[in-house]
Amino acid sequence: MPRRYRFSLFPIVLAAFITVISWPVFVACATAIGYFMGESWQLEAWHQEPRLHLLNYFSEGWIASAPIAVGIGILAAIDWLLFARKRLLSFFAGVLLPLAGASAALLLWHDPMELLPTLACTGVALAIAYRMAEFARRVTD
Amino acid sequence: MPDSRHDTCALLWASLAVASALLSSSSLADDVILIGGGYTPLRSEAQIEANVIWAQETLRQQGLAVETWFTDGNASGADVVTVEHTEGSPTEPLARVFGDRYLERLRYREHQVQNVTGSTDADELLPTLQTRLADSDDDVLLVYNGHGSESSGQPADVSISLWNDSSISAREMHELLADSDTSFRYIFTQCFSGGFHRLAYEDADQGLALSEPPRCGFTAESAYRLAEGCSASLAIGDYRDYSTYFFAALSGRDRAGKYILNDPDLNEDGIISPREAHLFTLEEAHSADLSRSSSEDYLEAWQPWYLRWLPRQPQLPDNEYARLYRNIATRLGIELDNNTAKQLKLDIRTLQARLHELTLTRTSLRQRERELQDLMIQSLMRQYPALLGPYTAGFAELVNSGTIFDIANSIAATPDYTDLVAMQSSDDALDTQLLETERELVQRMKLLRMRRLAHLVDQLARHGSQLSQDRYAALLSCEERPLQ
Repeated sequence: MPRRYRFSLFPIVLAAFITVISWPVFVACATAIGYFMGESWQLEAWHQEPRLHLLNYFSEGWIASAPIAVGIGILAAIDWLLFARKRLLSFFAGVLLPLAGASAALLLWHDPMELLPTLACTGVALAIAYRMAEFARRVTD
Repeated sequence: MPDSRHDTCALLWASLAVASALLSSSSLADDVILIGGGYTPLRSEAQIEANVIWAQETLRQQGLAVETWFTDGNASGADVVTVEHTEGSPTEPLARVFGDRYLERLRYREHQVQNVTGSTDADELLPTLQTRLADSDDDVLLVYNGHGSESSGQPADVSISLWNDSSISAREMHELLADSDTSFRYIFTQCFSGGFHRLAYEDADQGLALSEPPRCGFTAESAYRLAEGCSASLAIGDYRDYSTYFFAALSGRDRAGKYILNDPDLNEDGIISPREAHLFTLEEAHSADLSRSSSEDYLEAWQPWYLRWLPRQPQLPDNEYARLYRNIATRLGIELDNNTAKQLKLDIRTLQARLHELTLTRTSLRQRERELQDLMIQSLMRQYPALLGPYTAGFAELVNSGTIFDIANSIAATPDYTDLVAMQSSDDALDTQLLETERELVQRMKLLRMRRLAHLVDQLARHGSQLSQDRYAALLSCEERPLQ
């Protein structure tokens, strides 16, 4: 595939990638924070409920969160178009993801502190995944 | 001082019981269907019978009409098994060597439950239940005390194990209730009983729409865990299942007849509602049960996907589950601070490791026990080949001539036998340790569950739709309605 097509397709690939991993990353962040705080339902359920149930709850969340995940994927693509392509601004690439997470918690949630650590952590983890995807693109380019 | 405190408590409880009975007698009565017993004589432990008799007495004292269904009903034949704790029967050495130590202690007899309507055989019980539920104009309370089976599929496929190896699943009961126009409440104390909470819903398999008319109840366990009370230790006080505490709250006395010291009457209206009895059980039970009510089941099922995975806040909201959490933690001597939940998880891991270690020790001990038994059996077979066939004429000859007792005495005199007895005593001690460790573990799991429920009640109030909140309130109202 010619280089310019690959370049223009990349934001779509990036959006799809971020869309798919958003929910697993959210669950991983929530579990990690819950583990350190000692306040995670999933770690309690691990020994008390069939593992298949946890998987069902996970799949249910993955499907239900899809519209939000698509939004995050598009945001990642916009971020890439704004920052990643320019040498100076590329330092900030991915910054919109944690910012969006923190803003969503602060503006939309009744009790921001309930959601802020998990969404901020998810945003940072997704930004890292985005930077790795961008790194992979550059290496293979 | 403790005596005078005890007397005051006793007086208070007696007054409460009288007030409760007076209030009950002035209202329309619930119909109580009490089903109990095992599915075969070998699995129809006397502890189930004791609980059924106790539940029957307690419910009658509340002024309720109780219809009891127990094992084979009024048919003749042994249907209850007891375990004799006395050792030293003449054949005990043989039983120990041939691996029949447990069977040696079992004795079978007729049940002693009074006023039994019929057998719990599903072929007999199912049509009667159908008619009773369809015809009843009063509210129905179903109490089950026996064994249960798990489901490999949906929770609604768990079942109660009934006489003659028959069973009724939660799904079948759900279908039975489809024709009923009366309110239905239940208490299931068996293993995997949580699957019966699907009775509270319109659909047996999925969804949160509640049944109409309302149904609610209490179960000893979730749909995925064994309940305590499956052990065959029969001395009163040795076994603690859900009904041990639930009926103690209702009657004001424990199963041994002692007055309970903690007041289950949370709203101080002089009547103990089933929900108050359940909360009392959650607080007081030092058992291996993680009991739950239909409203708690609803809360757990309601939690939406975006809240389910979020870490909870360390601060507990102010509600009855938070109160229970604090009370149970205090009773167990667990320090309450921001690290408690983390510490509880560490404790759980430690106790699980301990359980694993005990199980491995027991497995290895049993392996050595079997090896020693095999050696002793081989030696006995060379001398007395007739022992090989316990149902043969040669064996009968050993018994009739009294040689069997000589054999037993000669076994008892060997050093190997002394070793075997020591191993089997260690095995018994390990069983007790396993049960105690399991109870300690479950207490910590219960604390985490109380924390979760405290947060769920709070989440429902903050994030739940009006419909969700109304459904939860309907279940609470059903659970809180006194037995009358």
